[in-house]
Amino acid sequence: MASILVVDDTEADQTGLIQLLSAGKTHHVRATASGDEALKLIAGDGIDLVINGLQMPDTGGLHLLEKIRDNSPQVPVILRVRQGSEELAVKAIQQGAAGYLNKESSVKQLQSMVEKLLAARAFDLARGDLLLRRECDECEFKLPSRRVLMSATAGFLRQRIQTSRICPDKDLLRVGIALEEAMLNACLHGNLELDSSLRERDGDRFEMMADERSSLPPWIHRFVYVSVSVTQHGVRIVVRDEGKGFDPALLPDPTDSENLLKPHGRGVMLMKLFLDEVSWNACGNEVTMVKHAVEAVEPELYE
Amino acid sequence: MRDEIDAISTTVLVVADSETDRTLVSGFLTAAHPEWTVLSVSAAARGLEILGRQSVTAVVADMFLSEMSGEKFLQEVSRRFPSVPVTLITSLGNDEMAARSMELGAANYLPKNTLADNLVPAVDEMLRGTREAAVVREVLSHLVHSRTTFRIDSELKQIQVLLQLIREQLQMLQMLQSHEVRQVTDAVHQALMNAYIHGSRTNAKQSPAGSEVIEVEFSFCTDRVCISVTDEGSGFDTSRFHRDVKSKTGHGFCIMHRHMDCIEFNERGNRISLTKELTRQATLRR
Repeated sequence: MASILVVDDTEADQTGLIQLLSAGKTHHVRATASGDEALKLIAGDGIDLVINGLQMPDTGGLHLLEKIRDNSPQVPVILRVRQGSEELAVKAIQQGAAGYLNKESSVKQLQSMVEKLLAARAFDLARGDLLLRRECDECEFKLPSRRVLMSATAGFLRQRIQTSRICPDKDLLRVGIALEEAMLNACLHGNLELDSSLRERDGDRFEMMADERSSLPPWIHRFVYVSVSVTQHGVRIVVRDEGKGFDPALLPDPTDSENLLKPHGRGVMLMKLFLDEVSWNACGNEVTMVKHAVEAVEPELYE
Repeated sequence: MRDEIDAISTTVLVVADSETDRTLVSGFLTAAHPEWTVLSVSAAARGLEILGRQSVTAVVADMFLSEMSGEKFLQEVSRRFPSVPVTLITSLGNDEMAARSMELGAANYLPKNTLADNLVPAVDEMLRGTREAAVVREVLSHLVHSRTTFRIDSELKQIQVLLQLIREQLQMLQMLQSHEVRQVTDAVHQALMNAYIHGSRTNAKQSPAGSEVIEVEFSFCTDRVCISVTDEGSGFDTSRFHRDVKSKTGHGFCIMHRHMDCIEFNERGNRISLTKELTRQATLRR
């Protein structure tokens, strides 16, 4: 049974919608006139769809829509307005409303939109469950040494890792940050042989040289190899470059908090802070990072 | 990479019946971005023809076109050229029409009386989106290997969701044409249904729903896509497969045989592995 929340400042509309949508007893419908109460109910979980008809200009429909998008992006919202405009409609969809109706819309239109969105929501939930039933998810990239590709690929991999939910979101976000640092190290210091002390002295020149070298031999022939493997036990990431390697013992002391602020060696420090295991191969051109799964992750609750 | 993408020339296609509208839209765009190429045509069919022939970065189209509605045109563009964004313009619209256009995938929707202020920012925004999508496509073009294994309950709903997930992955990877994506998903569907119907431990569907498991492995490397499906049944006589394909009985086997390049079984006959080779062009693109 799907659970629908009606948020409307008009009592007649609340009652009307409850009657309309509870008919047939397939949906459980609740109503409130308060945006704050609506947010609490949605955060408390179990709401499958919100029909948002708040009209107040400042604290009204769009404002509530934004709040719901920030806190519970997975819950679809239909915006229902009394005095619509094309501008408002476009804005609503751009801000993430799943549907838009004005109050002159027919009952049939509303019903079909509700059914369509509930079906999509059920599918999304089933899809999330299925992603949790993956035994193993692994992939490997071979990337040219261009720094924007490092960040973009790290972003892509972070999203892929996050769907596993083997650790709380904030931990997996950090794994993503460490991964990006490792890839940037491999690209800039490993393959392109740029010295991080140059970045400390002259950041612009550092960037310029990175751009130049990425399209010139011999650097252009070097790739960054990234492989990520996620199982129920944890995430394992290997990043390898085709540079000369380095001696990790020569890095600044990672336990000294002052060193955190220095650009030099900061990436490695973040990697060590955010992951459970970090190790290099003998010649220092391949780093392996491991994050162990945390058992029984509770869905994060919103305040 | 942003610079590289910017350096690629930008071509905007304007589709509107009215010559005044075409002149106005082209005028605003070229005044703001003299380096862009702006093409304008009056007929939707001609617009689609240009999209099929040359590289177009974005489209601005009138909601009311004489031989095809703007909505229909938008749907055609999204179906045939999914990476090309469309902004719709109109003087006869209303809020629900605007919302519907956006839901159908328009990048933006603008009343004509606001074009002077809003057209250029809207098209700029639309191109930003295109660039971001191009970055994701570029990232995926460097993916050399991927493997995901699932353990799902032998249950129809999970099978449907898994099929949809595999379809989306295949589309995202952009290594198969859309009809090939359909063929592969059809073949996988048959393999999953075989596992569901015949792969039971008890040989008949008597055990409680969900108590049996199907293992699915979805993998790809630069020259092939493979999907293997393993059930808990006692396996079947795999020589039947070739007999059935030859005699054109066994509908499911025929579909798998027609759509995939290689089909293999394990010795016990409870695992089927389907392989689709990538064309040379798709492999070279990677």
